[in-house]
Order: sequence, then C-alpha cells, then structure tokens
Amino acid sequence: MKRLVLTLALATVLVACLAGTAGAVTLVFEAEHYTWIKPSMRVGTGDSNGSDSGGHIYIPLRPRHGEDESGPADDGNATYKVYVPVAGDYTLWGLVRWYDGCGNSFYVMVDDMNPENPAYITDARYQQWHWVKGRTYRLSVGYHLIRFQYREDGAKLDQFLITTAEDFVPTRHMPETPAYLWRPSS
Amino acid sequence: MPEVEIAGVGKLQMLPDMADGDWVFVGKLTPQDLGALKLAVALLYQPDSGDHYQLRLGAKEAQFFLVTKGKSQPLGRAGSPGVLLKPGQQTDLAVRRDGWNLSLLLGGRLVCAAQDATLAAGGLGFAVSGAVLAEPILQFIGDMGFEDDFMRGTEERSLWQPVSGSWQEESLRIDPQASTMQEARSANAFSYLGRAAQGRALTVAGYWFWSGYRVQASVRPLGGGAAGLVALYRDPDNYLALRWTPRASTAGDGNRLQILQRVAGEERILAETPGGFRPEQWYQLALAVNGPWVKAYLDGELLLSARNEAFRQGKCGLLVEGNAGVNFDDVVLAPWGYFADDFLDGSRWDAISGKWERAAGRYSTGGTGLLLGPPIDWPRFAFNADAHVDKGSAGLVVGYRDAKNYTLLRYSLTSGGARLEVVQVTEGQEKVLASAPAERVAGLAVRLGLQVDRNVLAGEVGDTRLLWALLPAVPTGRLGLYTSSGGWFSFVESQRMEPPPVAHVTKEFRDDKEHWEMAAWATRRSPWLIPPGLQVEREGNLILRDFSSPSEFGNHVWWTKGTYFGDKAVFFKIPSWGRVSGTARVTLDARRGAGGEVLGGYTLAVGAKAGSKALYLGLSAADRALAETTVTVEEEECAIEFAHLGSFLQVRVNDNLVLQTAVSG
Repeated sequence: MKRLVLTLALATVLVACLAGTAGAVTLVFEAEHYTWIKPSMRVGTGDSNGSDSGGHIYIPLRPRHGEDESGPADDGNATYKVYVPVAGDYTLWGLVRWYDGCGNSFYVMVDDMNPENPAYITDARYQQWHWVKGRTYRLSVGYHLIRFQYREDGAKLDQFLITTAEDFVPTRHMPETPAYLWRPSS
Repeated sequence: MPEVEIAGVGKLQMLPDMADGDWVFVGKLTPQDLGALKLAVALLYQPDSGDHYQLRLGAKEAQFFLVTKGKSQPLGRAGSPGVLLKPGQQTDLAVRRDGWNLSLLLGGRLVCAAQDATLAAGGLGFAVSGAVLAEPILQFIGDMGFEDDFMRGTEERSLWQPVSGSWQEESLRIDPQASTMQEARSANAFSYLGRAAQGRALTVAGYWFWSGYRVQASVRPLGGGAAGLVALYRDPDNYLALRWTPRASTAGDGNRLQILQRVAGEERILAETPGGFRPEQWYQLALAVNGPWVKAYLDGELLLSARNEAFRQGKCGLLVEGNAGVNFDDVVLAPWGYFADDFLDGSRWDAISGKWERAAGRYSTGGTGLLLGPPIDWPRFAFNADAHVDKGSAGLVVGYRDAKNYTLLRYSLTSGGARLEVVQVTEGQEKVLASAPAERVAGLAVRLGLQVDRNVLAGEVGDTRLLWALLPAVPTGRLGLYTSSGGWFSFVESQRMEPPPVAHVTKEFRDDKEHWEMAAWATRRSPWLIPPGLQVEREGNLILRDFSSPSEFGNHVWWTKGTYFGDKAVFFKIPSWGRVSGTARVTLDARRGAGGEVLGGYTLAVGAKAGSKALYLGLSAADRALAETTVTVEEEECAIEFAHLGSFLQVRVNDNLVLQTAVSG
C-alpha cells in the first residue's frame, strides 16, 4: 500500500511536468520490468546487434519452429499495470526482434484480457531490433493493464511505449518512465 | 518545462530530451501578430558553457547562428519565410539536424540552412512572442529502410497508404501462363497494381521525417499514362517525383523521363531526358534524394541529376497515371548518403591552412593548403575530386579529426612521373601505408578517388585502382582537399556505398520435396554443387539425399557454381551457437581439383565446441598458415563474415573485426 501511495504521489508530480510539455504524454516501459509474468514467456538477457540494454522478454523457439501451424502452445504472457496520468488516445509501440516470418508477432491486450479478436503487433523485419506500431487506445486517467502474449515462438520484446504524440515515431532505445509502472513488492 | 535564460533572448522553455545524432525538432506555429513575431530556438544547448546553435525566425527573415562564449556568429545564408507565415494560420515548423547540416522548414518548405560541426549533442528550447508554438517534440531520425516484394500472408499489414487512385496487391503473374500457375509456386507471384481513373494515383510509405534515401522499384507499365516513384512526400500537393511516359506517346510530355517538383500544387520539371517505356515490359526505376541533390536511375544507370531547393523530408511513394495501370514489385528503400560541390554556390568549406580562393567553379591555393568539408561517418563510401597540380602533390583527406590525425590519399608528381600513396597521420606522425606508381597527366586535371570499406581504403587515379591500405579504424571525420605547392580542385563528390545485395532464392522453391526438378537451381542449396557422396538419383536428376541427423552429413566439399571476381565476402552463421562442436572451412579464390578437392585460394577455418563460447579462427593460403585467433562470442548468435578486399583478408564476428592479414593478390 505504501508503495502504491508513493507511486501515485510521484505520478501526480510528474503529471504536472508532462502536461506542461504542450500536451504530449509518452510513457516508456522496459519489458523485463513486468508486473506479472507467465510461462512460457521468459526473461532474456544479452543479444547481439540490438538495442537491448539489459533484458527483454521472449517466447522460446519451439522444436520444428515454423512447421507446426496449430497456434501458440500456451498463453504465456507478461502483464504490466501502468498508470496513465492524462486521459487521451495513446498509440502503442513495441521494440521487438522477430525470429522469422513464423516468429514475428505478439498478441497485445489492453484492459480486456479475453478479447474475442485479440489484436497483435507484427511486421516483416527479422533478426533486428526495431519499433513496431500497434493500435491506438483511448485511456482514462488511472491504472490500466497491458499484456503481451505468446502468438508465435521466437518473438522478443525489449521495451514498449504508449504516447499521445500523433506524429512521434520511436527510433531508438528510450529512457524508461518507471514511476508509471506498478510492481508488486517483493 | 524547465527554463533557461539566454542573453538577448530571454527565458527559453527547454524540452526534457537531449538531442544527439540526427533529429528533427517540430512544433505547430501559429503567428498572431506578424510584426511582433520572434521565435528563438536554442539547439544543442550546453548547460555548462551556454554555447548553442540558435535559430532566429521573424516574419521577414530566418537564420541560424553559432553562439559561443556569449557571442553570435551567423551560419549559412538567411532566408525569408515569405508567404509561409500567415496570421492565425497554423503551419508546421521543423528544424532538422542531418550530419553537420541544419535546416528550417515551414510547411515542409526549406527556408534557410547552415552547416557546422562544432556541437554534437545538447538540449533544445524555445522562446516565442507574437505566435504560439504548440506540441513541440524531438523526433530522432534513426535507421531508415524497408523492402517490399508484396509477398505477404493474410495477417501481414501493408506498408503502403494509398492517397489517390486504386491500389491492390495482385497475387498472380500477369502473363499467358498465369491461368496455369498457382500462387504458392510462382517465382514472382505478387506485385502491387496501381490505377488512376483520373488524374494521378499515389501511394506512400515510410515516415514524414525521412530524408537522405534512395527508393527503387521494379515497374511494369501496362499501357499508356505514366509510371514513377515519389520522394519527400508531404501531401498530395507537395512532393518530388520521377515520372516516365510511354515511348509511343505523342503528347507534349510523352516519351521522356522527368524529375518533377510539385510545390503547393504547381509542378516544375527539374530535369528530363528523352526516352519512354514500352508497355508490358519490366524496368527498374530508382529515385535518390539527399539535401538539395536528386538523382534518377533507370535499370541501374544514372540518367538524371537535379537540385531541389524546396523539400528536405517526407515519405516515399509510387505513382501511376492512366487506367491501364502499372505493376510494381521489389520496392527497396535504403539510406543514400551523398555530397557534391561544383564550387559555384557557396557550400561551406573551411581553410585550415593556406589561402584558398573560390572562383569559376574551382577552389585554388598558391602554396600548401588544407581545405575541410563535411564530416562523414559512413562505414563504406567513395570520395573523389578533380585536382590540378603543376608541382608537388595534391590529395584527398578523410577521417580528419584534427591537424594531427587524419588519412591522406596523396598524388605526387615525381621526376619520373607520379606516385599515389596512402598516408596515415597519427598524433602528427606520418606513415605511408601503401604506395604505387601512377600516371602523370600533363596540363590536365586528374581525377583522384578513393573507396573506403570500413578500414580498407582503395586509391584510384582516373578510373584505375592502384593500391589498397589497411587503416587503423574506419575513417570517421571530415573530408578535405590538400595541396603541397599550390593547385586547384573542382567538382568534389562523395557517396555512401551500400554493401552489394546478396542473392536470395524465392521462398516457394525452398521446399524441393514436391518439386525436386527445381532443386538443382532454385533451392537455397542451388548456388552449390552437391558433393558426389551426398547425391542420389531421382528420375534422372541428381539431388541431395535425405538425412536423419546432422552427424550423417560427413566431411565433404561444397563448391559454388559461379566464379566470383574482385572483392568478395561470404557471410554465414554457426547454428545453435554454444551448443555445437565441429570445424568448418570456407575458401575463397580457389580452384577445384579433379576429385573435387580444394586447390589454392585463401581458407578460413572455424572451430567451436559445445558448451563453450570460444571460437577458433585460422587463416591460411594453401598449406601456409597466415594468422589465427580465438575469440569469445557471448552473444546468442555467431555470425561470421570472411572477406577478401583488395590485398587483405578480413574476418568479422557479429560485425566486429577479429582477424585480418595482408596477402599478395
């Protein structure tokens, strides 16, 4: 509870600062700093040729990767409880590294953890860290859940961000905004 | 926002981000009182010293300044916003940093520009009166590039955003055999078809802040009309285009290739050349833009060059006129670094030593002199200039960091003719890395040139490559021109070079179980001859036999079918790095013996052991050991590059140079 109070207090101060930046709000989260994680989603460290600064999450490659088209073997996921300081339309971006055309997506769920047609992020750039654009979500002030879930094995996520800046495109590893992430006390 | 007080400006609101590298500062500017409009933007502000670049914008003038120790020095030329600023009308303001270039864009149009490399990173802030600057953000530019062969599954989103006309992905080849073909088994099953029932059809991709790129596509016009590419697209009324019309067209703009500029809906031809397309024929078009330079290529050949003073950023796109339509395929966008100067229009050059004069398209000096141009940080590039000397030497400088550290390609006149040398200056000490006799050209300018491939420099006189040298590192720094006893230079050019494309095989033919008759030429194994010990015959064809485990593969020599000339490199990965044991040998420039054995050439031996991250690498020529090393590869992947560049062998592991040696040829 104490951690929650402190986090909210800090968030309130930062809201004042962020709101002063002419309205644009960008919140950045490190993937390995999840609130909850469920196997087969795992935390990885170290990766060549990338912007991976200290860790990432990933779904390990399965045997006969790409040959089995039956879908994800489980619902392994990482969930983040984030605090949105200003209501608005937030576009989600993920800093990802895909394995190949059969390992190039994550399901993304925001607040609704059992959607009928879950959204996913994907593109066709492989074996390199890069940002991929997701959907835009209308978020109210307060806590929201964001989940990245197993859709294809071999996919990795280093960071993700949500932003109200319409024209902003992340192109590099971003400084984290940890004050907007709730994590259970260990 | 935090605030900073700057003398002569007042309090500036500072963005929380620090800027470095290439970036764009953008905001939405709405003038309220043009007479009172004053915008000051501090760029790369140094909190300790207060040094910074400053953009000053008023209703009548805009200019960049370098502010050091409280004193302002104008940079570049002033510009006028003109009609781009109107009271009550919001316009996009963008301040770009590209290398050493600074540019101001209003409404996407270039207003003023400058060049300076004094400051590399710092804060950003602004102060404004007589207007409102809303939503300021710092956008880093980062890597740009994409490829699209339009072969995508149903789940993959298209990169393209249609603007006008109709656009659709076509999943079958457009030829008489199409009815008998299945898309899963076609070599060129997918393309992008654009049609314009009226006017012009456009579709775009990429980001608004992209600049300095080359967009290339395979193009097949299906009838009359026009086909082309778009660059620096802002909106339907503002972009550059490469437009091509049919050979058979009798219209005024028919049968020609054009670079056109569309500004606020009005079009102007920047360059054109006669020659049109034949319908139903595939061609390759490319349009390259960087700063003011625009170049257009047809089937790899440079056909048009132009200058563009309007735009500096925008998306790329495809263009169609006419309802017959145009197929597009294999679109590639890659960075295009380019710099050229004919010394006619005042690009920045700094005289470090000697007295230099610019006149009539030449930069000349009477004695020893060093003239510095833009900084370059490309890993691969070419740099050349026309030089004229009657005595002493002239040269090209790369990687200039300061007066004691740079690399010089020096062309010297001698009693017997001329000599070309690569000279490395380190902490003021000169060392000749390579030297070769050169042709002496009496009374005429000589074209000096060099090509850099990371740390290998090749020197040329005219079109003849004369020598190679190993540099201590990639020469990052300013380019320059040098003379020892007077001379002049004209037309300087530098271009970033991309690695040559790697041949790839279409995905359909990787599975040769059903189409074994294609295996000999179309699978990922196709560039290699199958060793006799691994062949089996099936219906008159020799194919690779099946294996149940890697251990059955054995020890065989795989030869490429082709013969490769000149500089070359082989790239391969060690699969399951850290979990496999074994050795492999890769040989370049070898001959095949009667029994398939390897004769001559240069061999890289690679050794690994399961459970270890140590990688052994050994270079040899025939049976003679040249160099060896063992490196630790901590990453999950182990990607190896073995290259023969000029007279050097190089080995890189995960892009890190780990082994190199000189060889005779």
